[in-house]
Amino acid sequence: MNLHKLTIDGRAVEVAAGATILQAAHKLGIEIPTLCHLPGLPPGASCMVCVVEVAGVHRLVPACAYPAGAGLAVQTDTPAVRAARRAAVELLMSEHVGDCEGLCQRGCPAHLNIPLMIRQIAAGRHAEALATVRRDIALPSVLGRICPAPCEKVCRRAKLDRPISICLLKRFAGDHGAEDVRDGTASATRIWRDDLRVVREPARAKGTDGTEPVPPDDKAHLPPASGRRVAVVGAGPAGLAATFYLRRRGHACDLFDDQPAPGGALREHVPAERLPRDVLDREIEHIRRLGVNFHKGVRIGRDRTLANLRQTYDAVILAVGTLDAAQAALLGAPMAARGLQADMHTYLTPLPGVFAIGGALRPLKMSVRACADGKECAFACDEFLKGAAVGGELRRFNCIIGKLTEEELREVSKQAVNRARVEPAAGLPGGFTAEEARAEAERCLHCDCRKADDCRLRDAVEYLGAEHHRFAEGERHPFELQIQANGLVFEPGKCIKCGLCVRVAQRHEEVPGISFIRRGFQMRISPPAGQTLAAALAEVAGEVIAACPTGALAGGSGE
Amino acid sequence: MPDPIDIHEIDEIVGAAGRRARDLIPILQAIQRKYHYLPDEALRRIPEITEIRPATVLGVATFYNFFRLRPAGKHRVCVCHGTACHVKGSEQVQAAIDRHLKLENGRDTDAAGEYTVERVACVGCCTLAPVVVIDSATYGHLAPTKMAVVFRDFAASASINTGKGTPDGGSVWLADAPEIRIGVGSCCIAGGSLQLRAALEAALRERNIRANIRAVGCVGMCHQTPMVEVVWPAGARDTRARGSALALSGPAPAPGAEPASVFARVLPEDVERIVQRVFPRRGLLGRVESAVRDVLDRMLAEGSAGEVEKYRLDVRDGQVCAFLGKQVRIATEYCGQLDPLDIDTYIQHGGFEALRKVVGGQDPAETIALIEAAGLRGRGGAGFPIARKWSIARAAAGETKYMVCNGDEGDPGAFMDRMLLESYPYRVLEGMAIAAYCIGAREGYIYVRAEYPLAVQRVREAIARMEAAGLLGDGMCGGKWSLRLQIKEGAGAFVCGEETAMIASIEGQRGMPRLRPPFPAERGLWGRPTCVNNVETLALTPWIVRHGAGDFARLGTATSKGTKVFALTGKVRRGGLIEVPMGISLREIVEEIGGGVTAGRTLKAVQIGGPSGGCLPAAICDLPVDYEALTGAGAIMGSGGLVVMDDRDCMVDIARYFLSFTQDQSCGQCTFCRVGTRRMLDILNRLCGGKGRPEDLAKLETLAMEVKRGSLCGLGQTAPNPVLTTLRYFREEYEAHVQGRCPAGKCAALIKYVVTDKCIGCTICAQACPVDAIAPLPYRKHEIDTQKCTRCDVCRPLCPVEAIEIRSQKSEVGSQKSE
Repeated sequence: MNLHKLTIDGRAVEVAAGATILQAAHKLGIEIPTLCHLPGLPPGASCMVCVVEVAGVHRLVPACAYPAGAGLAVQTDTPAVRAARRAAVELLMSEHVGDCEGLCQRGCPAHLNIPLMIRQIAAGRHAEALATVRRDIALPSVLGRICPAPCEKVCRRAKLDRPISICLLKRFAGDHGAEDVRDGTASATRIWRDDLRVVREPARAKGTDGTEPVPPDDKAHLPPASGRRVAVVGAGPAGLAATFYLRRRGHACDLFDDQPAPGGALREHVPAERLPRDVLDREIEHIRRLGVNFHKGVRIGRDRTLANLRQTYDAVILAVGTLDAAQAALLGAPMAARGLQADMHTYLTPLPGVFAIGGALRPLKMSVRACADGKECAFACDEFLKGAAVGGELRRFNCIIGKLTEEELREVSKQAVNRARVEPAAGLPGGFTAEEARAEAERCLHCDCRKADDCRLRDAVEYLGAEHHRFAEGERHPFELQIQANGLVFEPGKCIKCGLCVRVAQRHEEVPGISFIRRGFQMRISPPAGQTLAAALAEVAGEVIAACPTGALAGGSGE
Repeated sequence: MPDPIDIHEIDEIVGAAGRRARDLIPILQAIQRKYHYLPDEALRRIPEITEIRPATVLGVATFYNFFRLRPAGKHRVCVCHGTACHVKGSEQVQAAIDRHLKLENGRDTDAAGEYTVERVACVGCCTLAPVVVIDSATYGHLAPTKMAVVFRDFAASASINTGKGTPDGGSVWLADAPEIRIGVGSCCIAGGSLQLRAALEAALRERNIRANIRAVGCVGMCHQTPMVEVVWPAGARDTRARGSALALSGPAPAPGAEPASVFARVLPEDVERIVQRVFPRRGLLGRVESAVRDVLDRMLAEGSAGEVEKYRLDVRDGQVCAFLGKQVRIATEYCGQLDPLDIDTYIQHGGFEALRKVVGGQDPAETIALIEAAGLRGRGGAGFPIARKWSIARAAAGETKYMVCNGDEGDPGAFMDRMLLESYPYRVLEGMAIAAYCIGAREGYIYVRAEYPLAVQRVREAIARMEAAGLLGDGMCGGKWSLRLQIKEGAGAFVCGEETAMIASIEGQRGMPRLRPPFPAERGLWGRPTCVNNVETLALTPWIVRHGAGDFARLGTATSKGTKVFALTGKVRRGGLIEVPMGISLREIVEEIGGGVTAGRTLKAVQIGGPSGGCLPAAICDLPVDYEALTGAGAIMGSGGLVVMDDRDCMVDIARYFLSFTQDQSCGQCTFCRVGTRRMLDILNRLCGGKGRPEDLAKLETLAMEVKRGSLCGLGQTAPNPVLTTLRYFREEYEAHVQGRCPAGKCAALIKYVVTDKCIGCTICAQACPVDAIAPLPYRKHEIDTQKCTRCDVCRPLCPVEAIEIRSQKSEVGSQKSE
């Protein structure tokens, strides 16, 4: 066989004639990013994210298509290459019309995956809905009663009629999570990740909702003990949340509070009419059942010193609530202008191993913010306990469409049942019945992307550090949504014109196939004249969905 | 509107065109010709009765501009937006047509279903700019005020225009009779040469005058069309004959020789007097003399005849000598003397000598060495050495190889290929046959733009005549070689000028380029070694073989040899098709051959190389025509578009014009070109729209470099050149736009029309204003309502006292600065 010798990043490699630079690099274990290429398909040379430098060539060339010729000297990681890759992704982002996450999720301080929770409620999968909430919010039933619901203020449905009752739905999940009433009749709404699962590689298959399986919150299902011990000072929402998520990571927790019962401001300041104490007690009990040593009536700085805690424990989290300079001095933690001094992202104070969260950090109005602090701090604390660099919880990149036109709103609403906002018959204190919750959940527009966790473009923006607004010029493409009878969903605005779908369909003689139509900036994919996309792709739809690097082609309907 | 579709007709069309993948574009072209659009039923029928996949049909049908998916009106109105037309006001012409036909909200067909209006990239009649083509009738030198006249004329003469036969009809040749040459290039035909020919034939018949009428190819003096030349046979009126031949072939006439009888810008009504002058009747001397005087008077006076401005001059005028003096004819050898399709005349002038020599036993390697010694480089733009291309294709493995002639001249503002194919089809085909023989190809395709119907028709006929004469086909030229040539008509996609896109198009696909390497010379059409050469390159080849490499290499510079054909257009007095030796300066071309810009204006820039080229400022116009020199200045040699711009042309607007062209023509394959050119255009639109931001220039420049470096094919890699050169040489003009001023007074959003105190209150402007922005105030100074005014430029040229001026929108202070 004819072999070609070349070098990539100075390393020699030998490949068969006909191989591409991408294949040669792969052989060396050098990773070259690409959006438009999949092994086994002819190269697309479209996205240009895989560009590399070849000595003697005065432009950048796509590695996916450029032949690995004998004697080539290839560079895959130069400033010019990195700049071009970033620019390619920035250009693709400039015409990308889609929201990665729902507006509600972005608006929620705890970043709760609200659209997923809503789909689970609509499908009667209440236990899964509760698990979804608990991934980000330690006190679902409590916040389901007292949260001012910033999520609802940004809900896109408000532009059509009234926002989804997200808070009541979360409360429903909290209150009725154990009562899983899933049945065939309740699955009218799309459970996107369910559909996606069929096309995933088995190795990547996750839980029924596509995310990591969450064990029931009991001691038996916790990960093995890490051997690390954390003192959490203050049993308000922030401290409770920190405790909850630290326990779920296997760290031992001692919770200190100067009050006789945990709950902090929730118990002290929220009237019982708004937050019945049995609800509060039940949710605190849920956390305590994970194995938490509660030290009641202990005030740090009075009964025990911070220095003492730092000696006893591997880390200390200060969630003591609002405090003045005198109280801070007594506590022995450095003070900033509005509260304890700490990094606002990692919550690390200048004292090694000491974190500060909640009202102790700055004045807080929302308990959900306190809960979010606890969750994020637990993440950072976990990094600290593992001896890793403390970077804090990373918020993923989010593409944002922005304002929609009237027509686009109608387009989005295709995914929802046209129904007025459901009010609980039992009144606000009673909350939703299962039937009401389902009816309300079906109003959700599902603004989030079907492939938010599976999008190669989103990944590329993150790892290339692209400024997605760099080329936000001129008009954008309109938001469009085509829901096909077989559950295939096509969103032209998310298409990066990589042609993978066209090439996949081309492999199958038996289907009519799809093609690019028009040219240049107006180019898009289309089925043949007189056919639907579903018919044009027929049984290769799953393969095409898997190949599509973005949410442009996705599985979307459980109907 | 549309007739119902008879599916059997579609079946018939397919039956005639073929059922293979490669037949798709011809099938669609035939359907479109029949129905004026592609009916849905037809698109669905094609995959049922061919090997073509359903998905491919719509993909191809929507890729090319020529195809329409919606029903069209009875007549097709193509508004040319080539560069020359753009700088001469095509946008305002377009707006006037839209108003005239009451087209609103993006509709392209009038209510009566008579006319469908399309924007087209370039019809290649740049010297007549601005140009509109209605069906087959070309209207040139238009202005927004002339639309009613144009449509009235079209309606009145529709039958004449469409009823015309070929311009090359045969008749008996009289060896001893004088020859009357009439130009039949597209420009000449657009100028009315067919009507002229009919009038001439009638006049000759009436007087029983024995004379031959010879239709000849383009003379290149497109600014003088239509032209008539009278040549006397040897012996009779000897001096005249020689004088004539010399006058148009280059060198100045010999002293004492009577110059030729050449008449320029002739109208049919002039024929009578021309005939009287050239063929005086005995006994009528007095009458003739007065007639001649009359003609001469009219010719020398630049006057207005009829609705469209015309002026005439005699070829003895010094201007013509200047136009021709610096030119060297190789690709356009015997310019103005050859009937494009007369194979005998071509042979008499040395035609096919080169082909016979090559095919008759010369080792291809010898021919390639000759081309190498001549230093011939590709004339399509990039200047790749031809000998190397041929050698690679020749050395490539495989029995089957293809030769492709690239006649997809897409540059707006260029018409070299059209002229060469229309006027010298045999020369191009001869060159192509030589190339095919050298690389070992037995099949070849001539890819010609569909916008050039006359070129297609002539090349097709020329192939047939060459085959009949044994110059093509089995045993051609008496040798053992065989070559089959056929035409592939393009369908309106600039990117198909890129060789890999052209190959895809010939194969019947969307014209998407692919990455090179592998180069077509190794793997091209249907995966076989394929050599793609430009029309002009091939037209030069026979001359080199005939005269030897030395004569060719003597012309030009160290790295750029021979001659280059340019389409000289824009704000130049004598536009046309010229062939000059390499190394000549741009200034010589513009000032000496072109006669400079209009009096009162100053030369600002020369745009060379079209959308892939650059705008070079007047200050550096001493630059020689040389591949490396032009590239060094940020432009490219390109295929030969040369558009002259004066101080009224806005360089930001020009950059925007080219970007809007390239982004519209981008195939969409790669991110940098598809989205990058669009984002560049967005920034340019903002600048021209008065919404520029200070950071825009840096952003535009960075993006332009990224697109240049990252794009997959030549289109994207060169598309930023017009932007980069204007930014480099005219940065202050960009900065003015950021501040909201257009110094050239071109960008509509930045200017306003004002009436000065010179106004005499004649109300002409008010009557003409299409949007009632001027109230008629007899005998009083008029005013223009800036809010209502659309800057259509109808009023300004009409004002008898030049009282309407263009000012900057910004405060008066700003406008003073900008003046």
